Amino acid sequence: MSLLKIVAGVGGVLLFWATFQLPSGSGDVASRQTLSISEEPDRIVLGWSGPVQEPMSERIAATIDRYKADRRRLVLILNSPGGSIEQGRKVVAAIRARDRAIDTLVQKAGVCASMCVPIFLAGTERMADPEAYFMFHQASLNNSARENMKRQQFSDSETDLFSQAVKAIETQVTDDFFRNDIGIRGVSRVWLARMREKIPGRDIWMSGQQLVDERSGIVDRLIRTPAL
Amino acid sequence: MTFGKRQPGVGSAAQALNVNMAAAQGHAVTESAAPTGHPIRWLLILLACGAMLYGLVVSYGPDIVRDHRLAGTWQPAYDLRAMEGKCERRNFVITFCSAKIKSVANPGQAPTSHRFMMLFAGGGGEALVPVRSTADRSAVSIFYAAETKLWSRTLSFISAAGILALFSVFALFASWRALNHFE
Repeated sequence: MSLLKIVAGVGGVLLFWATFQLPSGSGDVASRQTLSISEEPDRIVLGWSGPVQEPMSERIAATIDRYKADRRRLVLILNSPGGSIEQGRKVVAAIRARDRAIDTLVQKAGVCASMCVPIFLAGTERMADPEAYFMFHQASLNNSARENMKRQQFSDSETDLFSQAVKAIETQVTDDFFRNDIGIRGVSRVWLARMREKIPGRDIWMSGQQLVDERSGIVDRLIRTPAL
Repeated sequence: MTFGKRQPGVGSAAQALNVNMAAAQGHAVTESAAPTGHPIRWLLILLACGAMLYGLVVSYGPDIVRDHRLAGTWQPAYDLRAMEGKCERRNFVITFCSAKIKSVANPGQAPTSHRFMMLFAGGGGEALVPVRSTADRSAVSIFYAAETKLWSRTLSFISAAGILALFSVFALFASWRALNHFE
């Protein structure tokens, strides 16, 4: 009986110890997509946090459709590091295809970077906290494509040629991105051209206040956002 | 020296030790109720325990309370980057972790330091993802600390604070008794 108690005790201690040693998987948080819904008397707030990747367009479209008959205003809060251009365009198309006003908002210290910006611009009214952050940069091949290319055995001249080709593609995609995805309703063409010149090789971060001060036309209205 | 054969030197030392121990036991039996040592010694122990308890509560308490209040509201802060993260495990029991969080949107802003303590878990190889609360936008943390290990941190804090509080109470009691018996 006492031996059984000892074994149970040791087993319990080991089990207790083991629970603390398990990997947590907390590293996935940055790439996790969450869509929260909060119904308020005068509006429905959708909160998106995560990269612009599949299945963002499907989730956003399904959620908007869920409130098809509801006449309250829809507000989409964005917190995203950007992601796939293709998926971002699908999200924009999904928002535009719905015959209703959908406002977009970036909260205080929230981030709308890269491909998130065109989604923000798809809003009927584009609101941001003065301390919201927007980031603009050049389009780039995604990491898996780059890794695939690295694995290939190329000579130096081939590598040079390949790098030039990648650069040319990225430049072309960025021009196209700035012209068709960002250069839309109300966005200043002069400001956009200046931004296009600044971005090669670096990320440009701007606050909501700075975007308004520079008359970029990205943000329609600044609002102080309390916690939602 | 042969294995299994008693050596006189060793035996005598062992004997002497046993005698001393017996004497100490006898002493303890006769004066079991009275605490030994100068009252000042107990007061110093009390002060040390109190200071450690205060340091523990001030260093880790507010963050734990805040993280419980904001549990479930954390989302990735893409404008921040965690750096210089490290965890030091001591005696396989207690682990002290620290990291700095720097803003990439405001590179001029000074990095903020985050520290936490936990029992048993090592923390090695964990990704440091900076997060911000949707309920309090000024609250910034590391997801691993704020969400994943919140209960581990809480239990570690309660255990450590409990032990220190127990020592403090014992030292207070002992110093009180030593003062009463002090001539």
